[in-house]
Amino acid sequence: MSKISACFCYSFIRPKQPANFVLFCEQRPAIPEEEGADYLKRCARYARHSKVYLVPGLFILKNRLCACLISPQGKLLAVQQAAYLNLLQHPDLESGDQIQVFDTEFGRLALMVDVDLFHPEAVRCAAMQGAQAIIATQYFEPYDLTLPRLRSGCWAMAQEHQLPILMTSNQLCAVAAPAPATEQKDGFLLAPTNALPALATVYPHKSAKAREQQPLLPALNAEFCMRYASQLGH
Amino acid sequence: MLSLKLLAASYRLSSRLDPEKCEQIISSLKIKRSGILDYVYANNVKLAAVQMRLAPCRDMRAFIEECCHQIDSAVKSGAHLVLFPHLIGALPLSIDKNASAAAAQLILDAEAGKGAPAALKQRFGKLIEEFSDFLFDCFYNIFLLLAQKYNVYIATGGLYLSTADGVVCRSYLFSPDHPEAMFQDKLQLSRSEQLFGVSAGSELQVFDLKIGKTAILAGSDSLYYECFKAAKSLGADIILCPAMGGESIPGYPDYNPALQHAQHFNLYTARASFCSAGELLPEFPGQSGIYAPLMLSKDLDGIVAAAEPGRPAVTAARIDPPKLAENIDVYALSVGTGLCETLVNETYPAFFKKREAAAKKPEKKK
Repeated sequence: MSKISACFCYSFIRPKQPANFVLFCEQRPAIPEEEGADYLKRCARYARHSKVYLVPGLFILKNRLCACLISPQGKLLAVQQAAYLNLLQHPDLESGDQIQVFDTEFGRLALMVDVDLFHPEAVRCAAMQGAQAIIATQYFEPYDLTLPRLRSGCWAMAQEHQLPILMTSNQLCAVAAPAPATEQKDGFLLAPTNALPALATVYPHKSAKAREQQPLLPALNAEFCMRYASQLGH
Repeated sequence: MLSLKLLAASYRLSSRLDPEKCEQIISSLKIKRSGILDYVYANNVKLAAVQMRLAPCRDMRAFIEECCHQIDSAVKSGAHLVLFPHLIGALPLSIDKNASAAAAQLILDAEAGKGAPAALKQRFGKLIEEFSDFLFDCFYNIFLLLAQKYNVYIATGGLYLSTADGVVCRSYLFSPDHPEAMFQDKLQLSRSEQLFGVSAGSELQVFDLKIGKTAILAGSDSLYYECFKAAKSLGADIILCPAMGGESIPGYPDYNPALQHAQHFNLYTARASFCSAGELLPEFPGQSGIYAPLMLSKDLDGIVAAAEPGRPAVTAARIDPPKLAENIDVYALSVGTGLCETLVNETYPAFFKKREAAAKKPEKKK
């Protein structure tokens, strides 16, 4: 399992070295459907040219809000639809009903789209399918992003689900991980910053060790979950 | 040798923790009945979380006086409900040095993974056998009587007790209007509790109180979003999270699930924990407070009121449950039901099946 050398930068800006994984801090809430194909082609060229994995900005595909991961060869590795929608931003879109987990050289990854990261159900779905790291792309209105909000998303999910989470947005980027897997024991590998480009190194195996030391998910009460399935299923 | 010491401690404690004596102590205290529960308005509910010092009790009078002191402070600030830390009912064990040392050492050994699981389970069983019954009687009678005398709701964290379903960790909510306390068995066991062979509950209770629908998620229950979501779906607006120490997960000093889940599920939550200066257990600062969704807190940080870490305090704050219905947070409360159906119908069953299969594998090898 390789380490993730992540670079958060504005769209199509040359990544800072030594990055093997680039996350765009895209300024638009989503690339409109009519621009999607050209945008993704350009992203693929960027990934090939920079020899990096790339998570571009959010885009709309078939009336759904999506995020994707592109390989250094410019191939589309995964497309994830949003399971939850910010209805002020995207009132007419449809939501998806799956969180996919896929294998990469960095381990099993899952993509979180926009407000999905504020929903423990979405992260649980990824964790139960064996995700070892989460890559999240979000969009915030300028007056909506506060540190407490950021903590209730990226940071809290990293602690509760014991997974490293790389979060990019139009305003800030951050990398959170289980507190024991972070140097300052504060749960951040990269504290929230808007100074771009920003670099962060993520070792997914360190979070795996934290999960082994305090295994939370394996202790989840199955009888309880099944008994309250109707409450948990809506 | 340990067994003999525990047996002696059990004899000593059983006489000192006599419920009748405790009742006499309570009667001797000049407790003033509060009228606060006689006038409850849905939009003006006050909760109090007690951050209590984890220190040995000199005797039962000292323990009861300490509890009364905390309830007095809460009642004076207008609280309808007073939340005490998890396992407060076990604190009278500290009256006896041998009993308290055995319990503290067991907690430390289990957390450090010292000793074989069977031996830890046996030590826990021994403690339950020797102390559980009279500790429970004493705890139950004291808090039920205090709730009636003060005329307020009192919620406490759990206490381990033997039931027909095995040893459970049971949290109580004492009401002045009910002759018997309401209770919630712990749903999600910590690693130590699994080692000790504690049985997990599977039923979530939502209590219909004058202050609103309330649930208790003690200790590690608060680490699992499923408990909060189920409670919310069953109508709860207030979740009480009694906790033992400052860290909800050892090694995660800043993570406060009561604060975070108030955001994720549009709830008011309260957390009460001990703080320790190292007298019974190693030093920890405690983390107590009253929490709300971001948009319903004054500083938009989700904290309605919080105790200073490391200092004993009663934190009381007003909450406004009807406001939850008006809370429109487009980020945390966004819509999407398809995923939850997939989660419940496919992801959970597949995960639990895989976990069960993995648990059976070593047995087959044997």
